[in-house]
Amino acid sequence: MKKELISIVSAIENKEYWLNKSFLDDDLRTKVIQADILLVPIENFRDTESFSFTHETENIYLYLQQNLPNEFKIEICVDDDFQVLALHADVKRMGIFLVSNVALPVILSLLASYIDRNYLSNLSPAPIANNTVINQQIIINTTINIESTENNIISINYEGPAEDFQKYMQSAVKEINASE
Amino acid sequence: MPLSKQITFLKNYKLNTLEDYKKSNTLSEFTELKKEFLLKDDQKNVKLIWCLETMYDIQYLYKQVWNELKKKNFYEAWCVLERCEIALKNLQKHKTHLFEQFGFSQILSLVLKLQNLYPYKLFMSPEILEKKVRCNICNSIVSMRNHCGHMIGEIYNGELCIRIVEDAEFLGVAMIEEPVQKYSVPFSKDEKTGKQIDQYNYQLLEYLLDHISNEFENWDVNNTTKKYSINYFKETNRNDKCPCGSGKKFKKCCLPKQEVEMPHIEFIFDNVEPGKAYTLLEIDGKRYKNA
Repeated sequence: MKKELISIVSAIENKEYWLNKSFLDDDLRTKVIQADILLVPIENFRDTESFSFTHETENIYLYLQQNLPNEFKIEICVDDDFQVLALHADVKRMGIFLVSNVALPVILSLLASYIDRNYLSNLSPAPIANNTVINQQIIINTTINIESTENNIISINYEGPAEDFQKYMQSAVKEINASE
Repeated sequence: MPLSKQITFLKNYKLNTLEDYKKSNTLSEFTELKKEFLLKDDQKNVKLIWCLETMYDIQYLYKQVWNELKKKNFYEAWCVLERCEIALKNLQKHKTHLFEQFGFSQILSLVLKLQNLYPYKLFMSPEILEKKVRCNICNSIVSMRNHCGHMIGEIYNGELCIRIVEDAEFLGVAMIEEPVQKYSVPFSKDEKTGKQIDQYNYQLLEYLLDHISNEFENWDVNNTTKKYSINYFKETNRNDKCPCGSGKKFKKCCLPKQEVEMPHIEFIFDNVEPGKAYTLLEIDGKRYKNA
């Protein structure tokens, strides 16, 4: 059965949800409130009490900080206890983002340029092979949770080829806008 | 001129033997040159040395792959292939087009094609919670609040930036098809002796090795299908799985059709008669007569 590359569902993890987490101190709570883009952790993987991030989070967070337009604020929902969830399937897990409606096109554009710069532009020309599947395809996984004005969360999850990310995400956003 | 001797060695990768790499002083010469450039804070040349060192490692690892393959140590060759692939991917971001003269793209292509011939389909993937991670460049604990500024995969002072995990919790194991850790191949165990059994079929690799004379010879593979008369499958019972690989019973699949369409792999060699084909004959452990 062909796996769907993208899914759009409702979610409950809005900003209020994260602001109630005990690991946030007052200073960090203020930053989270002000953030247009929030990198949020994976909670309780395999029933452990944990808040962890993916391997790619570190580089992506730095990249977004350096390239985000000045009028937008980005924050990562973690204190000093930064833990990484290392899963060893060959998928680039870019993380989970909670974004405002206004910041959505910005984050999509920046993620697309990150993908292009760090994954696609580094690929050598594919080995010459007749019908041979030489797997140089890079698979990425990411979740973008969009906070709408009514405080509803629409969650878009993508897992598929890096080169198709922008196309599928644009399509998803169109579908969401059409249904509102 | 510094580096000319080492560059000549790298250019001769097709002729260099495994022994040449074992006996060569090239790596220690690179280390000394790197130190000299570091003293001058010449980061451009320090990075170049790192690239050349990595290319040397790639060539050496690839020679080791073939050494293991010739001895039919297929799993050992697989593990070295993985190390070679990792080194190639680390270098991919930093090399220039000049590295083609050292065989970068050729070796990358051959590594990927060789991996594709292996029968391994499932791998064990550990799930680990990394609690304390340190930067190998500055030795600081990785923190998002006070990041050290060193990016994973970049080169600093001639060293590749990675992360060292100091404290971790093992969460579990998943069985996956596309692993990061390719060496995690599951093997069977003999129930009586407890010894590991290599249950895999390496006939594609064996066929390749029988038909090429050196590790840089050009070859290619064409995945297709071929139809065979039902007469080839007289040993197959009606209720056995169909030889075509569909998973259905023979009597419900190809038996009524009087011919079986099977996966067929064509090897294409530069030095062998064009279009000479090889038929993959083993499906589910049963062997069939060669066509």
